[in-house]
Order: sequence, then structure tokens, then C-alpha cells
Amino acid sequence: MKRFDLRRFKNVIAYDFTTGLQPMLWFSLGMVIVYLLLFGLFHNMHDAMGAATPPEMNEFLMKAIIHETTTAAIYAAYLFVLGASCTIFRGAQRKAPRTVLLTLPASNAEKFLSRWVYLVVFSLLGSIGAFVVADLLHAGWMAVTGNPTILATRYFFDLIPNLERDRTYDVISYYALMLTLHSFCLMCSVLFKKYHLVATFVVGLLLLTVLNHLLRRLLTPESKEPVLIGLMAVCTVVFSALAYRLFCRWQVVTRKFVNL
Amino acid sequence: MIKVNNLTFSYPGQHGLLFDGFNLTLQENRVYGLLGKNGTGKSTLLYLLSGLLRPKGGTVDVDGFTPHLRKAEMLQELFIVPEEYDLPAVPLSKYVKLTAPFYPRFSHEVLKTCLAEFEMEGNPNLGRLSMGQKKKVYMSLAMAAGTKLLLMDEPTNGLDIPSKSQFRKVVAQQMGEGRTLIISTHQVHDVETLLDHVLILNQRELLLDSSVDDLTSRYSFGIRMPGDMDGVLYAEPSLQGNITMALRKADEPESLLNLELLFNAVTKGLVK
Repeated sequence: MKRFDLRRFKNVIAYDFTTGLQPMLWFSLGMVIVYLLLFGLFHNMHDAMGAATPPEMNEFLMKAIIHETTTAAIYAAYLFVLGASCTIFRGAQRKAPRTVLLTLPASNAEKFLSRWVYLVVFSLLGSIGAFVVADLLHAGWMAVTGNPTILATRYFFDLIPNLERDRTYDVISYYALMLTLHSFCLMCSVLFKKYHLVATFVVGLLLLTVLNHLLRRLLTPESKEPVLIGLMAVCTVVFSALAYRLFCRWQVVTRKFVNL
Repeated sequence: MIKVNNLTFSYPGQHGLLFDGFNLTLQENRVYGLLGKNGTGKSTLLYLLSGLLRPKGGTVDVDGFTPHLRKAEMLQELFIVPEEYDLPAVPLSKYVKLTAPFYPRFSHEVLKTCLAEFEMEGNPNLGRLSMGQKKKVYMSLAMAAGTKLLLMDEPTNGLDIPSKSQFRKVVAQQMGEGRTLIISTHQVHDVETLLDHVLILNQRELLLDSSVDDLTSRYSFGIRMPGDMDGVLYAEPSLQGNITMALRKADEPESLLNLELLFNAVTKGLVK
């Protein structure tokens, strides 16, 4: 008996992406609007501060708007990715869709991994893809209105740490933190039945407070970075394993607020 | 074969056991009718058999598989038509294309026949169908999947009068060799001509586990006048006289099973 069959996995992927295409597109469209609103907000702010109005806008002012927008957009993108991770199993919290999911003839590993792949694509599309689209729309509008046209996507990627430019520890810490948060949100998505965002935020805050309290006493400035990276790696593994284990134990009827 | 042994179960966060030391054995190639009052655990039993719930104690064995582990090999031989279900908002043909690869014996021919029987034509978007229409699609898919075990929870709820007879026709046509169907229902008249075997469930125990052949050879069902009630085990008044269930005499021809009467007689403890 195969726990993981590649052909079956492809079928689950096809099922998840086809049935989940609509929400993915709607949420991505929502993010395009959010990014466009951010562009609009910073244009408006510079106008309100008495700077040049859009027709006379010089390149310097445009760069400032682009910079501020991308800075805000990257936070919006992080929030979107974490929000998507928190809510990826929300659709399967009702009895009917859960019945379909659990009785779909594929192994738990195939179903779980397929959801994760869907989540990654969903996150990339909603955070980066939507920003690129919003940026192109903004640049197009700027070009039409005779303003300097600067694409913000390059600045957007510059805000993501990379090894060529940043300190190795910083880059590793950044990705370790992202993975830890992602796996924590994923676990919460499997665990909680309702109010995923609020519950994840509250539990995360409690966990951080406890960890902060414990680590403050134990860490020295020299040991801080490697210990934190190690701890994040352990947490990522534990949260992911717990998420999968909980998913395997899902039942069609569970407690009111948690899937136990 | 399905074997439930010493099953113990209660819902999470609920006091008291729904099943306590429950035993059941089901054979292949039969159509089982699972009956019981509200809250006696009919749907729960179906969920336990399909791995949607996990027992607290005891074992459930479906063709050598432990259902709650939800192995793909078991799930591809099992199809459940629950009372509440969800179909995505995609065209029917697309949904079939997505679902069919999961079932090794999926038959597009059977699907076409069933849909035609249910008067479902074209390629409708599943998101725009009424509940009854969705149910017809879902049941057609269940039949076409060709699984060894088919579980239906209240299959005729939400179906109009012609659809109920269409349902009986579809099931009768497609229940071929090697398939077992368990129908849990309150709508006893909708399914009584389909059943091979009757299971009546009461809290924690099986009140009746008998084949229809056995029941119709032991009991006779009919209408009698108030002066002619000899040997009657249970009766209910009607405008035509009393509808009765009686011990069948040796020379008496077999009658059609009246499931409602049988159910009432069994739950009142008049028949064992």
C-alpha cells in the first residue's frame, strides 16, 4: 500500500486547484485592489502635503511614492501570506466540504501536501503576483497621464533579504522566521474550527510572550543568533508535524472551536 | 465484509456513550436498510464505517481496512452520499473529469444512464443546481464510481415524488454483483422495495438484524377488519381497517414487507 502515489497526488492537486480556483482569483484580485489603494494613498498624501500635483510630478517625488508604497505593500503581502496560511483549511471546517475532503480517495499525506502546494501558489499569487499586476496598472496610468513611469516591482523585491546583499545571518533569520510563522499559522488553520485569524493571533502572542520571557534569561549576545535560528528550525518542524498529525486525526464532527 | 466489534463511541465534548459494546456484521452483495429513531446513531454508524469518525474503543473493519486511518485503497472502494454535501461551482463534466480518476472502476456509461434516468441533461454548473438536482448528480456519481461499498444517508430527502421512483430504479439497475449498499433513512416507504436486509438500531443495540426473506417468511402484512385479529402482533388503524403485522401461517402466501409497521412493532418490543 502506497502512502504517497505521485499519480494520485496529481489528481488531488488538479482537484484542489480546480475547485479552489475561484477563491484564489478573487483574493488575488482583492490584493490588487489593496495595492492600488496603497499607490493611491501615497499619491494623495504627497498631494496633501503640498507637493506637486500629479501632472507636474517629478521623478524624485515619484520615487518617494514608489518607495513608500512598496514598503507598505510588503507588509500587506506578509499579512496576506500569513492570513492565507491561517485560513487555508477554513473551507473544510463545515461538515459537507469536510466529508468530501476526507472521503476523497487519496492518502492523508497527498491531501495535506496538495493543500500546502495550493497555499504556496495562492500566497505567491496574492502577494507578489497581485503586486506586479497593480504595479503595471499604476505604471500604465502614470504613462497615460504623462508622469514619470517607474516600476515598483524591483524595489519590492529589494525589500526581501537576499544573500548577495545582506548578512548571511540576517537572511537565514528572515527565512527561518517566515517558515516558522507559516508553519505556526498552518497548524492553527488545522487546529481551530472558527475565528482562525483571531485565535492564531492570540495563541501566537501568548507563545511569543512565554518564549521571550524564557529566552531573555538564557541568551547571551554571542549565542543569540544561532540559538534563535535553531529554535525557529525546531519550531517549524514541530508545528508542521503537528499540523499534519492533527489533519490525519480530523473527524467530521469535532468540538465547537477546535478540531479535537 | 464489514465487522464492527465491541464498538464504543461518543461525540467529542459529549457526555455518555452513543455506542457501547456495539457489534455488527454485514455481508457483501446486499442492500441494507438502516433504520432507527432520531439520535440512535444511524448517521454516526455510517460515518464510523467510512472513517469520518474515530471510535473510542473496539474495532471497525471494512474489507480488512481500519476506516479511520483513511487509506486511499479503502476510500477508492467506498462512496458516501451524506445528508449534507457540497459540490463545487464547476461544470458537471469538469467535476466528473476531476473525480473519476480516483475510482478505478468509474463508469462514464453508468453515469450517463443514471443522469438520464434522473432527467439531468446537458452540462450544468453544479453551483447553480437546486439541492434536489445536486443530490441526483451526487447519487449518479456514487453509482458510477463502482465502489464495493456505498453508504447513503437519507438519500430520498429533498427529492420530489417522481425522483423517488427514479432513485429506486437507478439503485435497482446499478446494484450489481460485489456491491453492498447501506441506506440509512426515515423515509421507509421510499426504500422498502430495494432492501435485502433490515437493521433496526436503538440506543446502543441492534434491535433487529434480519433479511427481508426471513421477515416475509415469518410475518405477514396486510389489512384486516377489527373482528379478524387472530395472530396479529401489531396493528395500526386506518380508514380501510387495521393495517396488521401477524405471524404468517404455513399455507398463507408471502406478503410484501411493510417496513413502517415492522419498525413500529420492533421499537415497541413486540417483535424480536
